[in-house]
Amino acid sequence: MKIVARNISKSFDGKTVLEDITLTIEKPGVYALVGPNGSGKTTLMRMLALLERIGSGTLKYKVRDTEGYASLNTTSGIRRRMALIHNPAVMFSGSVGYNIGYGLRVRGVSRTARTKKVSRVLEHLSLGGFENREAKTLSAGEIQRVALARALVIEPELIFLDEPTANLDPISAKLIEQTILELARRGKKVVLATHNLWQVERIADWVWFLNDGVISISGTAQDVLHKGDQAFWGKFLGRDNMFAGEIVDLENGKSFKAGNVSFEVATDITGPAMASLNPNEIILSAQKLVSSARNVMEGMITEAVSEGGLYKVTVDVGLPLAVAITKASWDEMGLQKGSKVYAVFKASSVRVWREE
Amino acid sequence: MFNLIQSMKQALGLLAKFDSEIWQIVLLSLRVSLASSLIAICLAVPLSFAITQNEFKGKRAVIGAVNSLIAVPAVVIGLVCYLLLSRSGPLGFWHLLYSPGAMIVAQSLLALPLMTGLCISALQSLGHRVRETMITLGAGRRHMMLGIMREVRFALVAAFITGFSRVLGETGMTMMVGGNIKGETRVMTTAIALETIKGNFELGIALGIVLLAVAVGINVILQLVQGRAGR
Repeated sequence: MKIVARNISKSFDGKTVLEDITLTIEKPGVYALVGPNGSGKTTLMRMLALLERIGSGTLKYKVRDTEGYASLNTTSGIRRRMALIHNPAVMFSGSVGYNIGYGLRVRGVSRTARTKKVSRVLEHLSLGGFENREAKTLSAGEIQRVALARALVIEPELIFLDEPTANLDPISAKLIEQTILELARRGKKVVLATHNLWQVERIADWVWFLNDGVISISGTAQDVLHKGDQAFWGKFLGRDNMFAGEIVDLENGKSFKAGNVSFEVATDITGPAMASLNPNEIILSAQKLVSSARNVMEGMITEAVSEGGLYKVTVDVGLPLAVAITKASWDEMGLQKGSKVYAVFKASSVRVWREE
Repeated sequence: MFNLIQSMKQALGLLAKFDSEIWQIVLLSLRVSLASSLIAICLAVPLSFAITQNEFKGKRAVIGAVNSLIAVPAVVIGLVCYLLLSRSGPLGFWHLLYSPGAMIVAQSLLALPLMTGLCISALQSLGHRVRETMITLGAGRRHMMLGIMREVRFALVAAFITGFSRVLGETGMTMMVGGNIKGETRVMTTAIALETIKGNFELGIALGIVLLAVAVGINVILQLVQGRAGR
């Protein structure tokens, strides 16, 4: 299935939320609609998923190569080739089995075939034995996985995911990302709306950056995220651990210096630069670790915010360093505000780029 | 005091010996109220769906009008029904006035806005995401309606029970269009009113006990249903 959007715009109560959007979804892969809150990415996704009418422009769906483009008034067949997953996903009252089997039931699939398919997809998403659990009593991570299972069981060609891993525990988030990648490998098209740049970096093939309802940047994830204006990304998306400084040569490597703080980096560039560090790639330890990681920085916890199954901890190492750790780790290590910790990360975990 | 105790004893006696007049009145009451509640819920459900599941100009005004109609006094509905169904009225050719049919029509009209209002609230509280999720999973109009009804089933049952208890306890309107004819249109409420005026307290009390028992029973069921809906 191919989607071609040409110059589509949309307004709500006279306020333009999307303007002149042109895009094509044809090849299998992971497409990311990236942008700050209110940029219009969810509205755009809903329009592509035929849940929202377009204001102006054209939106065409090509179902088979031999057929022409379908217009918007013949939506039912097209809809059945797509699925959209909200976050948080809505569970129907009843069991997990009922929820996952819903799409099959409306397609007239027999009970026996349904049961088989449901248990297969449950196993696949590490939800084996969940069939008879009351869906509404599940945890956020489980609900999101059940929603994914409910969409996958109908084998859509195109899957839309709105903030698929927001507020989820790390295990569920990882499982969902793995499933997305696997879907893309199996020839499906996955479109996700997200403002998680790290996730985009990990799984997206193509990126559209939406700002104020306009696609301001588009390209392969590699090009956009690594060759683009990184400061711009940081500014718009609130990327954690973005530091401005200078890269200096060491005897056997390079170091990034920002004020009195410096850490080793793996790069070819020298001079004024920006550095960023994924909060998930930093380890916190109570004692000084001896490891292959080049950077061990002593600091103090100044802030800890609970987000889903994670604690987002700020460690003052001379710079405010954001670190994501699980609640279990936080509890087991007996951490609290004011605790002295060591932040450990590899030189290769630091992304650096020349400051424009 | 003596009269009250005496009347209570006689009333219980009437109930215990299954007095045919009493049970005929009770059965007619239940039949008329059940029929009118069923008609009203059958209209209220599609009506509330049409109002909540579609976007149209004046939607809020329509919902406001439904809620306002809940407040219309029963006696006014009785008057309108009387005028419509009376021999010289536009629906006089139905020959329904002073028949259980007229009572059913009036009670249906009384229950309709109440049930529609409750169904609208239930559907609105469900939110649009359930509907959207069904659409994205490939549900057509029929499957979507059935699915949504399944989601709000306890609220729909609660709406039915609330409407039923409202019409079962209605007196003035039922008397106006039914006429309180013995053996024909006499129901619990109209009989209690009449027998009390006549001074036949035992019959009034006996019917009062049954009406109270039915009302309490309905309330218990309603609490149970609402308890399940809230879970």
